[in-house]
Amino acid sequence: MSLTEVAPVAGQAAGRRGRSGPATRSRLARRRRRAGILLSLPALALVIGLLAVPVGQAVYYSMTQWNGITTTWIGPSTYSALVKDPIFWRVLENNALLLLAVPVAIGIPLAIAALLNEHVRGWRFFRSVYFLPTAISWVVIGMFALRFFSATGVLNGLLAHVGFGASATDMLAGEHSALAALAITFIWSMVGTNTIIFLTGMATLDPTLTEAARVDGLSRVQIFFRVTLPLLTRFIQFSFVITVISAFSALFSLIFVMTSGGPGYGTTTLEFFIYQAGFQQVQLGTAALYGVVLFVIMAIVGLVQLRLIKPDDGGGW
Amino acid sequence: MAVPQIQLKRKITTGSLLILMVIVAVVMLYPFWYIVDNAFRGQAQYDRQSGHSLSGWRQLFANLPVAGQLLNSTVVCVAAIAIILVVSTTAGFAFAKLRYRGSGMIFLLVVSALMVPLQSILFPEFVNLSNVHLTNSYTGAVLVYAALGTPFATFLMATYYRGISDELIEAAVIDGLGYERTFLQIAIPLSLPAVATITVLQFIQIWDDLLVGLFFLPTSQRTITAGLATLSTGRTTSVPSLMAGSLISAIPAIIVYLIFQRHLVKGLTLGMGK
Amino acid sequence: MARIELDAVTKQFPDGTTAVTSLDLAVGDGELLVLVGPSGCGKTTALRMIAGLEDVTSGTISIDGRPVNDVEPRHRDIAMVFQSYALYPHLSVYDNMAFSLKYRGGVSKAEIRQRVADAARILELEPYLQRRPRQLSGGQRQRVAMGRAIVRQPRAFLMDEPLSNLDAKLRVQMRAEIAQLQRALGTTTIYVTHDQTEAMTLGSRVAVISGGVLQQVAAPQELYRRPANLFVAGFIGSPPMNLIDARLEHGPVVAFGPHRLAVPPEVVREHPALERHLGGEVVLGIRPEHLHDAALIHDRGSWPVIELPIRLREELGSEVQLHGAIGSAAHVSEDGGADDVRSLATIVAKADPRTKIAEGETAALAVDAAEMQFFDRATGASIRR
Repeated sequence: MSLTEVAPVAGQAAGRRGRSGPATRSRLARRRRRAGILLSLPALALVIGLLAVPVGQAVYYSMTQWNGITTTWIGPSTYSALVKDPIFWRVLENNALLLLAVPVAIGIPLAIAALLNEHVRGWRFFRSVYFLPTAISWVVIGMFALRFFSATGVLNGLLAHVGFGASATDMLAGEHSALAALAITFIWSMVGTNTIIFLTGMATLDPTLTEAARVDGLSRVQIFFRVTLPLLTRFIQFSFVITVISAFSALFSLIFVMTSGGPGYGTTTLEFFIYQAGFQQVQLGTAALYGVVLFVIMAIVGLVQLRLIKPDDGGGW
Repeated sequence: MAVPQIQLKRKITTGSLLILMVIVAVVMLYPFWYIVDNAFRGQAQYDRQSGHSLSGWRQLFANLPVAGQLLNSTVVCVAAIAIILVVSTTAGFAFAKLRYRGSGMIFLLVVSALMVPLQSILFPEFVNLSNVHLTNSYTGAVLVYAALGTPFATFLMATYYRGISDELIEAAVIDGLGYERTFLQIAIPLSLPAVATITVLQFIQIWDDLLVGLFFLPTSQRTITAGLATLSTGRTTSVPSLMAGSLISAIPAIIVYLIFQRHLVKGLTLGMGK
Repeated sequence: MARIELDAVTKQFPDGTTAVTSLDLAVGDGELLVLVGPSGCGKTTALRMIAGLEDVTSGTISIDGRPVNDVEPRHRDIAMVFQSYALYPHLSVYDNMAFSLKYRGGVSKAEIRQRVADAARILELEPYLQRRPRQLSGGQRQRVAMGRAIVRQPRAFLMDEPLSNLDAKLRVQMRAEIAQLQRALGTTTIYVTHDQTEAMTLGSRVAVISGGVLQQVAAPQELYRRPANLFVAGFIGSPPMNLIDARLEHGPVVAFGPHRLAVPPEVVREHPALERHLGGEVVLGIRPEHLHDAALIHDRGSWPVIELPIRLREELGSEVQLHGAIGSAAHVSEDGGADDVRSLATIVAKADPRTKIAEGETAALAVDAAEMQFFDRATGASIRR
């Protein structure tokens, strides 16, 4: 058959289905675009309407004095005033101090993951147990923590048992000890999440790497620090970001239940102060101001994470 | 044959590892034990730390509309999750399979909304919603929860859909199905694992949430978590009732966790698999 | 330099599978012994037990006469090259090679630098010392893995299919390099592979393993000329030996299908137990290279000729493979190790490329009868005793 005979036949067959060739392709492409836009609209609308727009509004309100009813424009000087406000630095200092808990909130789960990774019989059961606290509300956790750290609380009871009754204190009464109590509670709550992250990471590691190190003469401890840990870099970074984000936002519930920000401004962190300024003092402009600061900090943390996901561990991802 | 000394050394190592794991387990579980133990006490028994009764529960139910709040939590969760699922599956599919000009950027926009902390937008959001009268019913809170959960859910669904072969979609389209119908009839049935993951993750997040429940719901529609929190900062002096409240608000989430553990873990790890 | 001995070594996994059964092996000082067998035959498990990465269920592994069953891998002074190379992705080539020396202790920094430099020179890795593994090609990574083993100057090398992940051409090249390297260093080496060509070219002795059981250990030539059983016969040599179910009749004459071949006296001498099988069923083995196009043989002498219809002719450039149909069944073994190449009732002949035999014809093939081998149909063992 010559080509000219074939072509008309093909054309007829195509004609039955609809036109073939560039015309159909662009029609398909257009329908695809239309469907794509249609399907992504709801999500976009939700995000823009309920997340993006309020951010813009917050920026606007941050430069005003606002009590929910009347708005008085002040201008960017609110920011310069903020920087000079000692309360602002106090609040930030609290956040910074709590950030000190992050390395611990990462280190302990690393150790626990290493423990579980030995796969001693029943390890899966323990893994479920350790992960359980993640299902629990911070409110509930705070309920317990309040009773644990208070003057008549569990901690002091334990200390008395062991003989250290003399050092019994109400941890929630002192500014720094209250922060410490918060930090400890926070660490406890993050153990589950981070342990799972690291366990998953360890499971993805090539087992021949540790085997090679064993044959090459390294002790178990050396292998953990020189082989396993460097290869977990990505996971440690991910866990770091999650932990920091939690330290900035999830602590609200803990503070609400445990200390209400006190004593004084002792445990008033950024996210709690926003609530306080807005809800209790009805200074919504100030709340918006701090809110913008919080947003900027979170954005920076998020961007830093994005840049950090360019690991030099070579293999794997 | 393995020499007895080595066997012994192995047993000691295994034994000590086991002991360590048990110690960690005790630390992790003790709070639960404390809550359960003290939920079944009266105030006096609590102070003495001995004896059990149901008076804590009686006081809880006297001070808090428990059943009603549990119901509220359920309604809010179901509604918000429904919206999140609809919105994230459609958008996830669009971003993964129906790439169009600008879709990459829009995807980035939606996902980066992850970084917006609720506290930053709290008051403007409240003012907006109360202006359209959505804060005197479930609606406002449901919308806020939905908006907060959409970025991560969309990211998860998009990642998941990317794993489905393009040819499957194109074949359906060529068969005359049209992209929208393809989504409904082909992509949706395949989405179940990811949907399960999102459902579990969001359920726990929403059920356990305080701030939105506190702010965007009228008192009559308050969630159990918010109710518990206000109770604890109120003038109640009955600790056992607070423990009972903690227990009852924690149980649904624990049940969901126990049944759907795998999905929770998967959700977490998917978030890492960029 | 070390002697390695395996004495009745057995490995049973907790789920009940037995990977290795009563393995006896002795590797001499400086020898390169190859463990070869199909996937899953237990050769890697055996290697890992020698390394200490797997426990020994029963039996003893000794290095230089000292039992090492309970000695940790890191105290055995053995270096291992893994199939996947196991290079540390976060370290440079230099650091990968220096890794063990650095953390094991006992070697000065200057000495480390010297050893790595020497190994890099031998393996032509000098330009890549600062690169990361992911920036290297497969062949380069393989050499880094070898370099890491060399710098340790261990008592023995264990290599687990080090060339499997390379393309064919590179494999041939690296094979030669490994052989030269081992000879130059003189280090005792145990090399595991599933490729019989690699085994034959590399090993001073080759141990053939199947289903966790040692089939035969001998020099390559011995395995080729006098396989101890059907498995070895079918495994060694490519294309594999033709294994044909036949009857042994008085004469002695071997009969299969329409063909009857007299068994030459030298073969009878090699197989003294043959007379016990007279009148019974045996398996006849004859290698494709011992079947020739009768038309091309000028001086056939007493070579018998069989005529078979040719079903397939494969051109390989240096040779032509002819697949001919025979009346009786070709022997099919249960574990399918060596003869899943052939369909039933076909034998392969390796003919001179000048042969004019075409598909569809009935060709006359001359049989180099002196190369006949016989195997017991029931046990699979060679009928030699």
